Amino acid sequence: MNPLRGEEAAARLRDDPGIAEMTDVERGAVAELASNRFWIVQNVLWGTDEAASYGRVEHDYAGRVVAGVDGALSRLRGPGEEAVVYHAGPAPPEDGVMRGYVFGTLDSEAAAAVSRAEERWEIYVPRGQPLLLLSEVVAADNLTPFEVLIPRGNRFILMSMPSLDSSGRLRLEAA
Amino acid sequence: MSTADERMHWRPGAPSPPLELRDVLVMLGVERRPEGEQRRAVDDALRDGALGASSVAALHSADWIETKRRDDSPSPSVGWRLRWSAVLVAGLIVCITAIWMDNASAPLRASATAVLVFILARAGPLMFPFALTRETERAARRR
Repeated sequence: MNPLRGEEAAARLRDDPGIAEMTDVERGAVAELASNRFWIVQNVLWGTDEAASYGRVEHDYAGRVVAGVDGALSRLRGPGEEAVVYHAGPAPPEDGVMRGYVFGTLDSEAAAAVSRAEERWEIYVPRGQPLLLLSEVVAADNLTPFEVLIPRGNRFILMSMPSLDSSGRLRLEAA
Repeated sequence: MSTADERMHWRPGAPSPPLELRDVLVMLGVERRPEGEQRRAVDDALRDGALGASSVAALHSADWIETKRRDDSPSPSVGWRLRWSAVLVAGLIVCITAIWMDNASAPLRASATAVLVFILARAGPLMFPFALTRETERAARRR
């Protein structure tokens, strides 16, 4: 097993023909998800207490963004091989389901720069699962180097999470 | 933390940053429309109760929610004076009528006279606010 990493993975993602097929609405939705309003969408997807305080405007906005982003991601063919994505953050929920979008990076050093060691995830994205290299759709000045978006409804294997048990393995589903 | 870091680290329960006016306009889909259209969209959403607390707070911060002004009605003090003036005038008319009625009894005349004196003594300034102001000013000058 020799998964794609770093620049090699990025090159494959840049060549994905699905990127050129995205509509302006879908690209705009991805840009919204990468904006400083992303947390509204994530709160709605996770059904948090904060989302319960949102009005119809916030929920409609989140619905439009989710529809656009899912539409954009559905066009992608994927890198064709297994790829490693690095993620930073607290451990996943106990049920292993990530209900919102998962942001990561293909660059292990970029992940290291924004995380402590115990919060650094190494995710193996299976062959056939699409990944979106965000810089191909939105302005790169607000992105982590080689930042990627893992679509909803996909399953991936968390290969490394030092704060977990000794096996460090956890099968997660991005729901 | 930059937004890129926030995206990566976000988890349910993470504190949310305050919204700004532009965020609300984007969610309403009018961020590129003329200001008049933007304000109408905001007013409609507020009237429908369609905005969450964070959005309403953003509008307050941007002074896009104004306290309702009572432009179409007199100030409370003037309106109150007008109402009471009308009541007192009506009372004066009743009292004067009672006093001058040909067949009014003595007790009735006496009562009406007492009420008339009371009204004029206690409520006169309410009926004539501007006269009171002028009188007060004259008194102040005399001192």
